[in-house]
Amino acid sequence: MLNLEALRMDVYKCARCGCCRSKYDQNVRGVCPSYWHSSGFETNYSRGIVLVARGILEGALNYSKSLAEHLATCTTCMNCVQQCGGMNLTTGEPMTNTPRIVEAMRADIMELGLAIEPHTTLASRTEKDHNPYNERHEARLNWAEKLDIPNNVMDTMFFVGCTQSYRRTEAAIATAKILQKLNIPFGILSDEWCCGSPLLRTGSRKLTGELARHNVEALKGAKRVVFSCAGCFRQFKEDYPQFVGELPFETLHISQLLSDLIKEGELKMTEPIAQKVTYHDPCHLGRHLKIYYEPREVLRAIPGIELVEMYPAKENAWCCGGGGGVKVSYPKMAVEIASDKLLHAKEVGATAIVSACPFCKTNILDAVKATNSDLEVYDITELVAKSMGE
Amino acid sequence: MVRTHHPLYHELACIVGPKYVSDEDFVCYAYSRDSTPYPPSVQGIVVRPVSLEEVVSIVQLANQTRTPIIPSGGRASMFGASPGLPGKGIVVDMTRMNKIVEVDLENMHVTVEAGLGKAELNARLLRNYGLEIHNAQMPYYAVTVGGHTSGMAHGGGSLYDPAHGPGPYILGVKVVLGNGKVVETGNGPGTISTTRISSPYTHTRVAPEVTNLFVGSAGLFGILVEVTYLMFRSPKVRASEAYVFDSFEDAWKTYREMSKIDGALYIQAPSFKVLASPECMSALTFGMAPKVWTIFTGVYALDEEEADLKIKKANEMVERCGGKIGESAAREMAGVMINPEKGGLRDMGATAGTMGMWVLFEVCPPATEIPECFHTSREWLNKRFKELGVSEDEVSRTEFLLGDVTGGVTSFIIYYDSTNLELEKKLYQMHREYYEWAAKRGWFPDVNHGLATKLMARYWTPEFYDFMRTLKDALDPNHIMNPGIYNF
Repeated sequence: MLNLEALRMDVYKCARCGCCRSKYDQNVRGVCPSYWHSSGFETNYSRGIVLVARGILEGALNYSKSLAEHLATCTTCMNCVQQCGGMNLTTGEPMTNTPRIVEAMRADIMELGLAIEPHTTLASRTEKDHNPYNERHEARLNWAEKLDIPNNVMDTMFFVGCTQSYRRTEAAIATAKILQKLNIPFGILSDEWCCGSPLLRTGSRKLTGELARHNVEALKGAKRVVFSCAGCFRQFKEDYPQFVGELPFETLHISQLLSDLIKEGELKMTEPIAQKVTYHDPCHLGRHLKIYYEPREVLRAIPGIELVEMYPAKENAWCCGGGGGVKVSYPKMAVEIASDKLLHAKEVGATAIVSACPFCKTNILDAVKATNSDLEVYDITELVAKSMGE
Repeated sequence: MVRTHHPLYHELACIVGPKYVSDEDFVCYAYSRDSTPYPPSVQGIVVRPVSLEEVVSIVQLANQTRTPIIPSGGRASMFGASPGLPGKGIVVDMTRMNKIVEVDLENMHVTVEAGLGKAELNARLLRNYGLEIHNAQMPYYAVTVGGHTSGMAHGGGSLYDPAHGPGPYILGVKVVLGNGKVVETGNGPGTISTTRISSPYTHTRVAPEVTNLFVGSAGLFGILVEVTYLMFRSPKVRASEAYVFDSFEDAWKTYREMSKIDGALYIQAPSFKVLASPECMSALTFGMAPKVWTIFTGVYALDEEEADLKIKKANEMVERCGGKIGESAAREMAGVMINPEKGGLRDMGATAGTMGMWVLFEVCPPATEIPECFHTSREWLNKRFKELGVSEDEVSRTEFLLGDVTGGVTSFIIYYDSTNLELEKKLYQMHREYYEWAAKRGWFPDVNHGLATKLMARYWTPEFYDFMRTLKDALDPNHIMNPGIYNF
């Protein structure tokens, strides 16, 4: 049976009002980044995708390689859900969750052997080395060599994630230093595997389940797990329960932990950072988990920082363009979408963009490079660590 | 297996580039339906031009090969997708032509490409200049400039500012005619009016005004590529009120009285007033407001003093007519309607599907026939629901009317569970029957798409049909433009 079948009701509930393409007002500045940076057919955004899903469910259409290529342009940023014109009167939730539909369709495509090559490569690499970056698993902890972090299970665990382990090690190091400076005993896993987020987003459901079971088993005994990668955090919090049931530990993003400590007066940042910054809401942290307030609170607590908001921001924020497998499938498009973000930041006079997701940071940095922008890009942990004197 | 392309695939790819043409079955399928339960009509190929020259080339190619063209904008139509020629027709998706061509702040004109979303245009004008253009309440977010202008009988005029119609707002259009030639009308840039007449405000014409030939034309004669609008300053102050009445008669009497002073109270700046049924009130306020007939009204003003005065005058009128100010939930709803930051009436209208899939039963009677139209339509709907075995818990509805001193709109939006395909079929049947029933009484829909155009054309006199046929033959000699529209 098709994975899509489980979402039949969602598919039929789409009213085809078109808000997922063209909502635009003083808070919303366009909806679907993939639509604007692809061929722009109806099939490049939510309404058309859902109609195609209906066609498949009704037997009018079949999956194909070409459809797989179209579906691969979706960043699963959830802005279409945010702007959806349909509302379930009972739950107050939007009628149609297109990223879920896209993921189900990608899973069907993967199982039918029609997946695009970048998606299958992502899966095979992760199966082999437990990370999608084609890096050796043994090198996963290299970033922590000089930090003296226990790698046994403790009450508080830091789940690092592949991107911070191999690409954005500065954010992993900053997170670890913050926790050490705060005297919070914590550990990291000696055998951490990819959280599976990129795989689930691109259709590899079976492998995702294996990764989820491994990671949760390895973390057994921990009371809470802290994340500074928005993607890993979202994967644990939202997706792992469907594979492993209720998690046996609390999960929280580093920005939530820091925000709480600021409120309790236990985190004081003293080194001023004189910079006008703007905060990029990672989709996985913002629209997916509704965490908008805490990162901003943390940034506001840093002396010298002037925080300005982009248009659009928070629940209407423009995706960085890297998520949902787009970075690996359509790297040029991913950078073009991130370049929009640079323009938005420039418009409000920011000199730096701060994110709370290493994957967003990578894609935004690539856009900075591609456009020769003078904007600086930081992970929120880097600024906090710096202001703490690290 | 090698896939067979549409016969015009390669030629179209040469015109717009291969990235912007597709004959994939799933792409064509995604353009096969509008926002109604009407069955799909799947064309053969989709093309996304970016310039006037590309549109002209596409139309010329279509003429050479006698291939039908189906223009596509925001796909917000409410009467089924254009029939076209399934499997063969060319869908010309205009949404890549989305630039603001010219903002003339001195003469308060804006000229835009037809594929630009009206919501985006309005938001950008508001943000950058504090200006707005004339809009319909619904659809708002989804529609493009071209779709709105060609798809609504008055370009939205009859809904948003009924007293004035579209004349003062849509100043000119640029169209690629069905014969491949380009025509510019009215006061758009480059037309004779603006190049020779010093002030476009005079509306002085050196030729018969033909802009409205293309307004509401549903792509019958050609493809709209540009529209020039009159802009106005966005009001600084918005105020609203909700008035409740024990009976429809009292509410309607008040509504009529308010309509008669629209010209004095609401000159130029758009305003709204909506008369909602008791059931509609309950639905809109999630059961928070009492089930009574309610008039929502909103006024725009330059300052608080002016707004207060307008609301005060409205209050006095309501009191004289036997109504009173509503309770907090109703007043709050009025506040939402007038306030764009809270969604506004536009949002409500644009997302009439807010409660799920919906079917619109809406016609535009003369003002004096509004009560009869409203009540008999209501009776008709209730009767057919009963006959077709549709129970009350299967559907919900909002019912309201709006209009001015000369005419208006009665509207019944039926929301339903679109996963219930049997129910959807019944509503599709009812939708067609209702408009036949209403048309026989002289009440027609305001939107010109799909079935609506065929229906309305059946009520044309033979003389008018001949006249339209003459125009069609002259402007689109091979009848490639949107076949099936208006029975051509």
